[in-house]
Amino acid sequence: MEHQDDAVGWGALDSLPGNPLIWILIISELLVFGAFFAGFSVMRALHPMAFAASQAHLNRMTGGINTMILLSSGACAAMALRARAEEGVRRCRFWLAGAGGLGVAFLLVKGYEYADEAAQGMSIDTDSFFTLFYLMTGFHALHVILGLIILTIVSWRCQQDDIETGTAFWHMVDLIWVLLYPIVYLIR
Amino acid sequence: MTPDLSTLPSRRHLWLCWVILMSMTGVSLVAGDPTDDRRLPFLGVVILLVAAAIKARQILWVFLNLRQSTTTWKATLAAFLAVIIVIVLGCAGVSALAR
Repeated sequence: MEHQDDAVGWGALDSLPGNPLIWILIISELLVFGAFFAGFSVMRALHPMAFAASQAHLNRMTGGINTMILLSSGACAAMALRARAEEGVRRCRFWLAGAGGLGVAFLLVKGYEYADEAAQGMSIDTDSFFTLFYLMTGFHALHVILGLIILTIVSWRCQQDDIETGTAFWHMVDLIWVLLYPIVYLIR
Repeated sequence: MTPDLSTLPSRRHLWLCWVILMSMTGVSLVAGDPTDDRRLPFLGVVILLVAAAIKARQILWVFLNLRQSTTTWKATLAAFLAVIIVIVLGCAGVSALAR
């Protein structure tokens, strides 16, 4: 009986990298953002002219810069996991600091972008495009902040399993942005 | 699942992945032309979504190292990506036809 209890794990989640609990969060977030992307696309198909007029107020270039920043941050996070297994704690913390620093840079560019839109008089109440824009990008930015907190915590303990769990969350944030950027900023 | 060095992507593989991600972002910026507000041709939308799919796959397979996971998980996440892209492409196609 005791042996049977020990054998109970997380089932299919055990084959995923990091703590299985983080995958419950990652899968939930992917489904939420998937619904956002589908809803946004349907709304654009229903109101193409209104969406195009509002989208013209976005700074598409800052979105592109932020894509490069976040993808580079993801590369640093992946390097950190390898460094922890190969070279030890110091090198791992170096890469995690790089990932975190680029995450902060992403938020600063995002803040600049929001300030630019606010200066043009665009807010969450402006129209359905900007309601969805602020909900999606704001929710994503909250995940970046949560990811930075998680990276800081795992960097402090710097255990291999924790690093893998923390970086898995960070890559999920990356993954959402590479879909969000073309859907919200570029397709018109 | 505790990773060991042999199951993680090599440093060379990670750098190559980063180069692919940056290149695909460049492709997105060219196809999506951030400086122009005119509507994109449907082919431009297809290129943007293919570039996004390639980036998403690189993140899942290399950065998240899901190539070490089970076929079921790989198929599930690939299907999730495919569904999102088909919905976005379908909606863009409807808009293009309505023009």
